[in-house]
Amino acid sequence: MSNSGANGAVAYDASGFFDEMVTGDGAARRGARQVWEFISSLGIEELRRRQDVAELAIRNLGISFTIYSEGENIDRAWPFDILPRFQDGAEWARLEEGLKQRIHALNMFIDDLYNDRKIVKDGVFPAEILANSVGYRAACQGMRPKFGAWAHICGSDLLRDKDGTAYVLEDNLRVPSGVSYMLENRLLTKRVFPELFRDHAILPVDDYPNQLYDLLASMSPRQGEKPTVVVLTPGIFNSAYFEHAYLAQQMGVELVESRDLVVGDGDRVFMKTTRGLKQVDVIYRRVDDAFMDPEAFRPDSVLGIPGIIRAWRAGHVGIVNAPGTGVADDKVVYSYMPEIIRYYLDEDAKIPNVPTYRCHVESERKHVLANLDKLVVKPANESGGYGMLMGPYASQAERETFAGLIQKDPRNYIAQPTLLPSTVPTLSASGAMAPRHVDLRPFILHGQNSYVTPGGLTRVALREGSLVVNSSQGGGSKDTWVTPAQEER
Amino acid sequence: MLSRVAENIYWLARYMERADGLARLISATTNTMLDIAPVVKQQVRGWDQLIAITGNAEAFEKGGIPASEREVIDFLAADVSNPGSIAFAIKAARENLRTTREVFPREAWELVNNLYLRSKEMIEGGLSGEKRQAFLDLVTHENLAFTGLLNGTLCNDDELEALRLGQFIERADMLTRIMDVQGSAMVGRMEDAPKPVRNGVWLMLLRSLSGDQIYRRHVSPRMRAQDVLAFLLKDRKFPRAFQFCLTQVERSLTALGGVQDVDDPLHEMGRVLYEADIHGLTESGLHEFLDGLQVRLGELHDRINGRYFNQE
Repeated sequence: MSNSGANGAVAYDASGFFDEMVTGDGAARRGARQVWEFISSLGIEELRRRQDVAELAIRNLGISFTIYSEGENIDRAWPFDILPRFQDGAEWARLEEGLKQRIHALNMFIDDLYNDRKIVKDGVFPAEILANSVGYRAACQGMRPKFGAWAHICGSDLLRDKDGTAYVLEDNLRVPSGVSYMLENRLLTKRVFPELFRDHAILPVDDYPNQLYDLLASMSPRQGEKPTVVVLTPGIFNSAYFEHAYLAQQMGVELVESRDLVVGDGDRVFMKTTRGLKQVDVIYRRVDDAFMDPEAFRPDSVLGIPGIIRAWRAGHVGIVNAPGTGVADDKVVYSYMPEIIRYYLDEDAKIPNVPTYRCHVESERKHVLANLDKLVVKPANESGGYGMLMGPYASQAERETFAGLIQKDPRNYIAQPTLLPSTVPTLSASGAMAPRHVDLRPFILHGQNSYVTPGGLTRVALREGSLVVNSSQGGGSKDTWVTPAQEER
Repeated sequence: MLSRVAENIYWLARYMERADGLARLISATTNTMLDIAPVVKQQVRGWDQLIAITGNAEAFEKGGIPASEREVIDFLAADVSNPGSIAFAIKAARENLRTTREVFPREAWELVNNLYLRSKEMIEGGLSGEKRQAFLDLVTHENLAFTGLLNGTLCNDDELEALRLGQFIERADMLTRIMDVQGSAMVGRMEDAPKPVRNGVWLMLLRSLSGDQIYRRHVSPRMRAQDVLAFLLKDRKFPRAFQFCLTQVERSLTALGGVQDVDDPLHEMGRVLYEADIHGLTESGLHEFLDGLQVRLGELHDRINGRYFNQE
């Protein structure tokens, strides 16, 4: 098949979509012209060859995510597409402000919920939603972490609809992952397109591990000495183990498992070393609340470190993200974000929420049930794209099942209009360049002040027509290029 | 250093060294069979003995296959379900490195991961003819690169000591097994053999340990059983000699702290080496002597395990 347009350039047709690289008439977007011309001039064979180079590097470097099956660790190679996603710097600056605004408001919200609950008393956030929150941890009541920071690390998913509007789709506050792949994607793209990096200003992303370390160190309760920071992983069978090891390595800190830690004298946390016990100051935990401390959360669990929450409450150890942040990682809480931002900061949200129907409100529930063929229904507390109904693509039987679920437990469901995510040129399985749907997960750090990664992890649905970008469900990823705000030369 | 990490590093080193030792063993045996067996009058024990010496007899016999060259090579080199094989050792090294990746430079993972991927490919292609030697060479060369890389990039602190500890304990153990294959088969049976063959045995043994040139320059240009045995057991400068390995182990334990809690078997081995009648060993008893060293290395490992990795 021929995949060449005029002058031997690679053909690309994104009509019917909002494309991140080209406008409706096929011209490159602002600031992307040279990159686009260069990429299309390479020809499809050369692009395929470079894709192969990247895939070989991924295999050799062992960039993987882990699937555990049949008693074996299966390392799956990270699915990566070499064509970068382009993001205009001027727009990015606005998004960055919006993300900082959100994390600020979210932290004030969590701090309020575990202390005075002013937002509930003032009738802005309903008490019954809080009462039925899956992520609320009574053990955290009355805690005042340093800087009022609970959610130190957040991965917010942005999505651009067909009219070009960028929305926040969700805020991942528990143990968001993907940042290591953002960093690896940049290294891979530099290997594949060195000439582009030579000739273009693209904001670097590799400062993240330093920023993360500074944030973690700042959460140490012991002042004045070099804090002992550790990354706590559930272990090698966790799907994000690669990332846990990667971040520990990049920061030069220990990667520990629960069995390496013990709570000892005076409610302090220690790690077991070949030279005896060593006190730990800050724990960057990549373990869910529920498995952190059997004493506080799950008496039936053998996982975790008994007493660690006691040590945290006593102020002897910093935990990042703080226990209990999951209370805000709830699709129903998400639907209140515009109100939450207004309540705490007295500002309008700078990045809009996707309009969201709350099924626990009767009038909205009726609307949802009457329009299941048009809406996306999401459970309040799932992640990874599980347990959703994509109304327009579902069967009548599936829709009826969900109608039943919503009526049985309205508090646990929200619904949103079906968006058509924007597209980015991608090398398809058939060997051509074709538009594929993407989202974007920037990572936001928050302690004494906030930091947003320039760009983030662009996730791409590799199958034609698919809207699902999750790596657990066949999605891949791309490098994200943010250019410094500038005029078209 | 975390106790769990120390244990992983120690095993990473042991498995890498084991893969290397097995590769050298198979090379040595192959050479012996090719060069010496045909000219020695007595029955030379060969492939089945290799299985016994690597401590795999029971596992192999379960398979119920005759101990022919091909089966033994497959079992010791390529059979990933056999915990005593090269393929298994490489896989286990990689698993141990996977859980301690954050400690090592990136290149270490690339190197071991590559060795794993390439050796897997070669095994799938079959190890017949010249492919066998290519496979064994790959394992040996990657091991040299691995040791060089880590000695050249890791700080001289606890991580490196744990690595050396595993490396030299395994190396000492593998040395006794390699000597056993070559030496025990020949000791006391060589009177009738022509002189080039007699020399050949010891030359092969040294060569399989990359020690033939060093021996010639350092000890003597002549291959004498007694001198070669003394060199491999007692030399303090040759990095694959038993005594050298012991010294390194002691040095690493001292650096890690707590050497006094574990060093009884070390002193014991030192004494056994010192008192050994090397000339007598060239006549008889070499196999039992080497066995005794292996048992004490096992004791040393148990003590290290209790003191550094799994303290109660």
